[in-house]
Amino acid sequence: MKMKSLIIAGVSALALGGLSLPATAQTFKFAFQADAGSLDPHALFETFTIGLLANIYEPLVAYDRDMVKVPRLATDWEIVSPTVWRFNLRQDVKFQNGNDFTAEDVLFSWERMGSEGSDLKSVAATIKNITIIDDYTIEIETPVPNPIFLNDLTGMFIMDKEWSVANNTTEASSPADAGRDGSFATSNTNGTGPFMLESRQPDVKTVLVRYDDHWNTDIATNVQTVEFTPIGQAATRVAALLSGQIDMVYPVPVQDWDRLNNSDGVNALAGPEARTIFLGMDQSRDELLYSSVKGANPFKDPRVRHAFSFAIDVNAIKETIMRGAATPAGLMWAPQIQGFNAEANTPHPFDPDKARSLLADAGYADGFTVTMDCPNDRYVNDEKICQAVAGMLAKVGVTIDLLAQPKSLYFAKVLAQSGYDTSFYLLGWTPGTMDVQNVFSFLLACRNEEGTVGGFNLGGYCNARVDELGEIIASETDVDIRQAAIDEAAQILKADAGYIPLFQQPLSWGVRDGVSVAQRADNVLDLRNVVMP
Amino acid sequence: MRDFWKRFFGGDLWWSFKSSPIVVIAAITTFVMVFSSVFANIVAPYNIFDLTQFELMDSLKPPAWMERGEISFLLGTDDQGRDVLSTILYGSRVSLMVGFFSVISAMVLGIIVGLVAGYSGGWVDAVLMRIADVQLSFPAILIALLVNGIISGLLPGEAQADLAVYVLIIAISLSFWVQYARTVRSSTMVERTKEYVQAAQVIGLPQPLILLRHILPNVMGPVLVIATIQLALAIITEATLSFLGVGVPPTSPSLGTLIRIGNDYLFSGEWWITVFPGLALVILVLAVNILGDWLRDALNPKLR
Amino acid sequence: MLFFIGRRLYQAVLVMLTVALIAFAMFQYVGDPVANLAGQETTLADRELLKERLGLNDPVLIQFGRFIANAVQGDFGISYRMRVPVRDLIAERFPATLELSIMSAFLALLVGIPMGVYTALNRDSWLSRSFMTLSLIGISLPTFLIGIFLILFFGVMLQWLPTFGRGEVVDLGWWSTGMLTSSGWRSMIMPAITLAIFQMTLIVRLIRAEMLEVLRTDYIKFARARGLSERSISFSHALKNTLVPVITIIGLQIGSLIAFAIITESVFQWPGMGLLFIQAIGEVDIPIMSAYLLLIGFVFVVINLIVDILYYTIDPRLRVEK
Repeated sequence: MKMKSLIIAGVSALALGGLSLPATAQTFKFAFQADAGSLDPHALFETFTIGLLANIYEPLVAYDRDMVKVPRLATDWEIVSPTVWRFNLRQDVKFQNGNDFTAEDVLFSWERMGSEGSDLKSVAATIKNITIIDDYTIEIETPVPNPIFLNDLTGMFIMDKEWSVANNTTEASSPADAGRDGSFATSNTNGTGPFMLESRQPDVKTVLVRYDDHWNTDIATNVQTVEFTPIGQAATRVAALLSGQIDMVYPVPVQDWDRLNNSDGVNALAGPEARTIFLGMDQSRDELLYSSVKGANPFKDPRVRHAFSFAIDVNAIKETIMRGAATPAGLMWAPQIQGFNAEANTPHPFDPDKARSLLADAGYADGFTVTMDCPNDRYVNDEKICQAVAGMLAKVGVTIDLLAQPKSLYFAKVLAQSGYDTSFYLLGWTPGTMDVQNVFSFLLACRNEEGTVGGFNLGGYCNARVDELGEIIASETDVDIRQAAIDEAAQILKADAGYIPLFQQPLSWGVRDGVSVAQRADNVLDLRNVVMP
Repeated sequence: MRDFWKRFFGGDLWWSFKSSPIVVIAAITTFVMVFSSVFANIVAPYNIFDLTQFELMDSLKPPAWMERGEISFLLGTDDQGRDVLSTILYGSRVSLMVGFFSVISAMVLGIIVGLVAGYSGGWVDAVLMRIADVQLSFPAILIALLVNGIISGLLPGEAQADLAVYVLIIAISLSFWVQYARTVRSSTMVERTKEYVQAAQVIGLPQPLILLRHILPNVMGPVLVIATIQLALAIITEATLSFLGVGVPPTSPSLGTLIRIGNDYLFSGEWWITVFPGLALVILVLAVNILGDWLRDALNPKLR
Repeated sequence: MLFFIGRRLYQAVLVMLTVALIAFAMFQYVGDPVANLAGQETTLADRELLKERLGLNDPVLIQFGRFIANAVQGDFGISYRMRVPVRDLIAERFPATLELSIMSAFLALLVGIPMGVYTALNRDSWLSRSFMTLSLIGISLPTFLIGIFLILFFGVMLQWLPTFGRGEVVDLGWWSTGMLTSSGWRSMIMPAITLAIFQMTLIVRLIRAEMLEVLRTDYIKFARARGLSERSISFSHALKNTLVPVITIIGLQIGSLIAFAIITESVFQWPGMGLLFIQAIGEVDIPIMSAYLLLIGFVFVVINLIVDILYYTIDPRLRVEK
């Protein structure tokens, strides 16, 4: 074992070519605004949690630094029939406890993802059945033809069956079970990834160390130890970077970029995130819940929705509140998303006079009052954006009562469990699969009773044709036909002004000079790409 | 009443006031700040509640004497393009209002409880003082957090922003009443045994009248001292709650909210958004504290 | 004596139950924990299932009863957010808060008592006046503002001191301490000062006021008349008699140290119970919030009990009344 790790260390040094021997233990310290919710890879489908665990656990297919899908625990695959995929699995992969990785583990992990406590049941549901051909070959059957099946697979981490059975953690740990039997995986890990858990104090510090027997010897990183600290306050986080205690922090408030760039030894790293920030309006109720207009719903009139679009100066918000770092959007999905078409992405023009005349046409020459729901700790400068929107709408006569709340209260109010209790709101969305179909199913589809589609369509936007197109987008494997459907839907959405897309918010990281990281559009820090000086 | 002023100006209080320049300065400062915030809609250059008066593109302008500064925004602008001087004036109004009304309601509540407990004694006294004891053992800020949480939890979301000021007043006054109650109670217990009260009882005056007409005026001295000191504390408590994000919203800000907003810009060099409201808060509280200190020393005959 | 303590204990239990009930009632309205436990793509049915399993659909009284029954056995439930037992979290965080509170109490006493004594003895010297002015400014500065400015000057501009966390900690079994490493001590400085300033000003003013009262009493006048030295009067007579009420009040102030630690800890990201509590509020982590309030309530009740017993032993008049 010892011998082998020495050999591998030697090989990796060779593979890295010019780099010196990794004799000095490189420690990389980073901070994020919150901690991972759980170490159980199937317990919480949340970007940061999944992103951190991606260094310990691995899926069959994963995103590389440029968000291109690359083989990870699978080496290659072919489509046998529209609903059957055959995967060849990587051989000689060992879990961090020394167990072999085989087809059994894939089957087990899929079953575990579908267990009661899992938060990834929707991902597990994209698979109908897994057939083991031999130890390193499997066939996966999907319920319907699925053009984005590989994207779905990136969220499916593989666990070791033997280890899970031995530790009585064969079901994903529900929060309700925490600390009791079956929650072993919440605070212990055993993946195939390049880093292993060394210690963890939830919300205080998590330490990872390099797994020397990792199958992939040419990943870029030279980091041996990783220290992760959650720091909630933005100012404290920035101060920690400036004072040299931390190598990399995120997110950094956009207003602090100049300060970082003007300070010695640190830099701001910015890029467009795949998260679209938009405004939504209640178009389903006959009377708004929170408005001065009684007996009617002004948002049912497309002229009012267009007037709102015309009234909002996205560029001013971009230049001031976002410090020039947002990408104004015309579509509800970002350029990084599969299915994006740049031609359709022209932002709505800013024209307050037009807005006033549209409102007058709709019978609201004197404007009206409506309450706006807004989170104040979820998106970049979310509350400030809402305040600015309120100011702009005031200038065309619409009075906004702003209700800005912490995300726990905000989501409790506006989501399905409270019956979409909102009239006008700000929300942000990154499609988890990085494909446009996700936007259709969560934001654009008409809501149904069970809440299985349109779950985040808080305003109840509903257009039968968009629903039809959504069906096509979900199952059409021909790229051109699919794109035509996407473009048509985008046009309808724009004509309806069903939503008011504002912009893609920026990714905002702060990094010590000399440390190289890859800033992925999904705001995930992949330690495989971290290189220390 | 004329007698009162005559006594006041001719008395020791006025003399000790005049003889201390710091106290005079504090009094003037307090007066100016109270006046300009009460009449903020006349004094302030802009009305921060009229959203049509400011432009987002004017945001983050530095104070007038700095490069890029404009004379129309004397102390600069905040992240929404609002004039900082105006936000401070309107913000002080909210802070002072919360401070003043929570102290008044704490005082009224405390005096009633104290008078009743001290005058009746027995089990009424025991129960009331037990409640006071329990509460006194918790810091005011924790109680205010708790009460604030309960009340805003009970209110529907859309009412929270509108009623935030009243919720704060209730929360702070519920955490401040005990001191008055204890002071008034002990004074009442002393006064109760005095001859003039016994005389009043003998001629059959109703009990509330005795309490209000005869006992209350004699226990007001210490109550006023507590009130001044607590005014400063109440303003700080409000600022802290708003800083922790449970106070008034940024659309109708208090000084604490302004500091919380400005805190986001401390590292980016836009110090004026946080420093000016911070200074206003410290100056206001300091002035009130100096007055309170002076009043306590001046009214305490033992210290003369 | 036994009767007295028994009565106080009975009252203490009553207080604890009230605290628990208030805390628990509050938590019913603060927000929806399921919104935080579930990911963004969890369906409505799954959310309902989770709610059912957490027992959030039971009547409030049943939830409360379950909560008390478990709390008595030392089981505060499971943190919704971090999915580990709250008991472990509290045990992990408690040392950080206690070390911070003790350090700042120590700091406040060390600076506050001499300043208070000095200002009482030399009422009109300019140094006293500047001490009193300083203490006034100290009382007028909100804790969070002090912390922010300290970070800006000593952490960012001068880069002398670490701006967050406890530095390196050493694990001594069930206690983790930052007092054994230099980085631990350096990390302690700014939070301890921030937390100490308010208490310090309070102590200065308290000592001064008490001492001025005592200096006016007959037995001090008598001591003066006997021709004792000013020094001996000040220290062995006046200060000694001042300290009794001061110590009890300081005991009670430890409680407010813990409460104000919430603010200090969130400014400095100090991994103590206050930070745990504030984060729990944001995430509607009901079990942590309940446990925190119960624990604080417990600390207060214990301190009160000790103070009462102290009074009882010191002041014989109290015994007669019973």
